[in-house]
Amino acid sequence: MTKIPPLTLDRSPLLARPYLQSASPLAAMLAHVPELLEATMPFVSVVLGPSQLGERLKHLVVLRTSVCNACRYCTRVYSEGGGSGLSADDIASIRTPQPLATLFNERERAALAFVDRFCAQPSGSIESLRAHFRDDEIVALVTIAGATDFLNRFATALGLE
Amino acid sequence: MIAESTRATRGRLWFYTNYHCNLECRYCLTESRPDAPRRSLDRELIETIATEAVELGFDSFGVTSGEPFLRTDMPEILESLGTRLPTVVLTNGTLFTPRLLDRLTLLAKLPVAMQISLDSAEPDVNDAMRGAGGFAKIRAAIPALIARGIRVRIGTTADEGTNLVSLCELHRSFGISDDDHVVRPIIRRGRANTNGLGIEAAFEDLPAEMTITAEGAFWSPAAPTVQNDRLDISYLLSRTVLPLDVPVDAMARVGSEQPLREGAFRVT
Repeated sequence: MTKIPPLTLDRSPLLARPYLQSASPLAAMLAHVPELLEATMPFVSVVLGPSQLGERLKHLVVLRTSVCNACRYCTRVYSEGGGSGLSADDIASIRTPQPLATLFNERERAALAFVDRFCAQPSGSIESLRAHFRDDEIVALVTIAGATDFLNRFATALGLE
Repeated sequence: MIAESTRATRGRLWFYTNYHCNLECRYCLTESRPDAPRRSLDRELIETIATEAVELGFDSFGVTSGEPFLRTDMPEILESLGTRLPTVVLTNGTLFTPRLLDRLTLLAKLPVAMQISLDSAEPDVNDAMRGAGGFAKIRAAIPALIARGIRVRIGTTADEGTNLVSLCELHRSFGISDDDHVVRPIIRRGRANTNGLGIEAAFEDLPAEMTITAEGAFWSPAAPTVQNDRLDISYLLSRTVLPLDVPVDAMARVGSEQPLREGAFRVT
């Protein structure tokens, strides 16, 4: 498979270097196009950062989206689960075709159902959320799933490891 | 002669029109050679960028490459640039056939200068670094250009062994003033680095003059160098070159974040 080499700190453009301190493979790849890097990293940081949804729910959505999109890189990274509030059993279950309902509360089950529909057919996918989430929460969930969908495709197409 | 000079402002916008060259100089920053990847800038793109550059306040243009006159549309490119702003083109001076010289007469009425690379008044010394037969062609081209009313400058890439006294005598003999003689050191990038030539150049040593290439906008004309066939993007500003304010904004931010001092090298 054709691969684009990620850039190291010393070979990257000046404006990209602040983003490469964290050794993020995403940043190291986006450094090829510094103007994209400068826009994408803050966006990803906000979308995946602290929010009104809480860390556990957000992590659940990111991991489930990555599983649905068969993104090996993101699934591996988000299966580490540190600080997410998800247990090893939770993570293992999210990675299966049918997560165990008993491990998750009502809102989490609705979010999992949403992700499965979102990845297959975004239109109508938020219906399962309406009974459990406010409008702003639904918008946030869609944004998280959408950003993760982008990251999944980016990582898979470029072979991030 | 202008020796190592002051940092140029970002008033000049450079175009790297192509990367291939009929010569294969030992210190070339871009590993240019006849079969080098061309990385050519479309003429239409050059003209669109030039129009925006005028609006954004650039005050002159520079054209550099491998060898610009390998492009058959170079006279028209220079005419287009020269009608907008003063323009200098860096050339090895070996391709000025009578036919090309006739096509260049249209530049005589414009503020367009040819900066011809010449490293020594001694043919053997010059050609050892730049390629056999070059000196004789340059010696023929300079008076031919001047006779057509085209301003000629001399650009010398020097090391500690360069005999500038005899070189200055030579350019004065053509009627080229000391003000039109630029001397810069060999910068250890590209093929010069491969050959262990020249002096190291840090970021702050490079002239801060935005440079447009087919692969993006760079901090300086000495920035988009090539070694082992790989373009160095350490000083890449942006891949986006239009609208031009994208790299202009990036350049301003780089300039505000990096320690600046008077640049040590001057290209023109």
